[in-house]
Amino acid sequence: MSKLYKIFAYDLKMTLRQREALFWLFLFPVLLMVILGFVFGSSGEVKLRIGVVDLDGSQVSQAIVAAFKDIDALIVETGSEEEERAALKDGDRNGILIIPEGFGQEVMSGGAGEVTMIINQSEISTAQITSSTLRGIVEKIGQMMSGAPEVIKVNEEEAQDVKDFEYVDFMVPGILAMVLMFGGLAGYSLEIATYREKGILRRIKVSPISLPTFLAGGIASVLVFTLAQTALLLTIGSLAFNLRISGNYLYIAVLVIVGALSFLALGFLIASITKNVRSAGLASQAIALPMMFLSGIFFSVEWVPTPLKVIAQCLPLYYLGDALREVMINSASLLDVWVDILVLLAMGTIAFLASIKFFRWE
Amino acid sequence: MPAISIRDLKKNYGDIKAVDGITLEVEEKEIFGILGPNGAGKTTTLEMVETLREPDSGEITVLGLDVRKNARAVKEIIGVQLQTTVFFDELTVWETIDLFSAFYPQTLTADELVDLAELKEKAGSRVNDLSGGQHKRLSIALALVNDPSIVFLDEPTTGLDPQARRRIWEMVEHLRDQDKTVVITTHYIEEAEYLCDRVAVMDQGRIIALGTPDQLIDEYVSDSIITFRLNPPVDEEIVRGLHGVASVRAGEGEYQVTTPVPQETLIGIVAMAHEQGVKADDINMKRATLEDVFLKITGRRIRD
Repeated sequence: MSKLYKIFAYDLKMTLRQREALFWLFLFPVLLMVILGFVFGSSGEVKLRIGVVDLDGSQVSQAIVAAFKDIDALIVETGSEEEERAALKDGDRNGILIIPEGFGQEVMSGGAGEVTMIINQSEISTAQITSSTLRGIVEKIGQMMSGAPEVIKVNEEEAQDVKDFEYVDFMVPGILAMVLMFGGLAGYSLEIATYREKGILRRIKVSPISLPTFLAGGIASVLVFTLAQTALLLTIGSLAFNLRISGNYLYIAVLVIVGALSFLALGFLIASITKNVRSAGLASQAIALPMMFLSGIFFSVEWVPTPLKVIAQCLPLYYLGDALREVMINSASLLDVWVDILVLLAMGTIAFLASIKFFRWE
Repeated sequence: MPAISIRDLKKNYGDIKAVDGITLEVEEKEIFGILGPNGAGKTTTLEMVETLREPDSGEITVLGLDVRKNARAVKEIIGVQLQTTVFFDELTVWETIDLFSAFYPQTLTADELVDLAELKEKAGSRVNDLSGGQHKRLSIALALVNDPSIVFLDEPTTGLDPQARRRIWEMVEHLRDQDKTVVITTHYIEEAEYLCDRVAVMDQGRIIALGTPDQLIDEYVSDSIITFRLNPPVDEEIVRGLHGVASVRAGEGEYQVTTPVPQETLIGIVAMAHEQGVKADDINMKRATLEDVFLKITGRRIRD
């Protein structure tokens, strides 16, 4: 055990002595957060996401839903009242509109139909616009249908307990996922490729220590750095960008470790099947960069066209980003994100087994 | 029990027979040299004994342990210095030794090993800052971390200047004093002659000669070489007629003769000069070397 600790401690020491590694480990993620935070943090051009719940199902209500969908400035989601209220609570809607049962009949019989509007007040910058936009649209539709302005009455209900959801809250889990991916693909795994190239692995092979023991020391040190990275990112996010973490820190740590190990396994696989350190580095980048942009870690895949969404969902990084986001923003438990965890572990296990198969000492 | 026993060892790389049926025994506490040109199969042979490479066929035992079946036990009692080992750039000499000691169950202390390699004043330096000789001494120190009974040194002095080479030789002689068995590969004749109790001469995957340096020279090239100068010169035929002379080369008063009986020939040269009334000068007598042995057997030089 003390032997393992020694390997771990020296690995830690070696990383601390690599200026370049320290930059990528600590400075780069923070810089990225700062840049993205400033660029996208207070973007004005936001499409409003409106949830429309049609409890009536009459021709009138359907016409209203269709009219909403025609408006370019809105992203309109339809769903059950329960779903839409939950989405609002999660911060996924700027507002929802509920058309009650009997609404169509009321309107047809010449009365004033009532609809209910719930605005996500926590998004201070958009709440006002959402409210007036919805009101305006509903009135307009009413006018078009009957010519009279008072056909539809809008009741506004106060939204309760809505998550305060800002871009930074969305972005930080994404950056964390990205950092874990890069750490796994381009960190310790490349180090091992370097050891192979330098003949250090051969030297280890002629000593009685097993390679797994040697690697365990190194991986332990990687995990320590990864957790430190996470802590730094979350701390600076909280202090400088008002990041609010509503999730359980232990869950976050577990996801960070699962993510780090899975991508490390993928990194080992790349290092095992490529010729040398240089090509391993290039291959890692060729995998990491597209994955970074396509996995929806900086934007929600809900906002992109379906083909891109499908691609994103084929990439392991998507699941890490999703799990971290669910836990950090939506206070999900590990059980809630079991699919994500399963995908990551499966990828990690497959990559690990394959890297053992393709492993070379020299 | 021999320290190492190798029986009919073979290893092919594609069509190339890197090691082509080697059988030999290394005795305990001897310094055993494997001498040969680059590509002779020295390193491949060593690597198979060190458990680094799987033989295609043949048997290897180290202190009675089958290398293939007891690889781990073998690794614990051998110390290996590989030809090209670069260390961890971010660690100092002392730290490197300390880290390597985590790879073995039983070890010497880092301080002891730093002393052994005479790297005390460099103990706190990064490995990148070491000279070639210091670097090699560190790699030998790392081969001694587990205080092994058998030490393998793969071309430990290649690329070093004569002074640095001397210091490595001192380290190896120190190992002899500690009763360790040392197996050393080299393509330096002087190294093999100076350090080794016995030498296996390898060429093209085979052992072409095996014995103490003296035995090999006596067996293959018994003639010694005497060079001298005569002023004024005498006829070549007179020199050829001297006792024991096997061959003569002459030019501008300089002569080189080979002889199986150097002492008698030497007396003959001096007596002849006296009789002829000429002045003999610059007389030099030397034995044949292992290079001559290699030349004699293969028709080629070890280092071309």
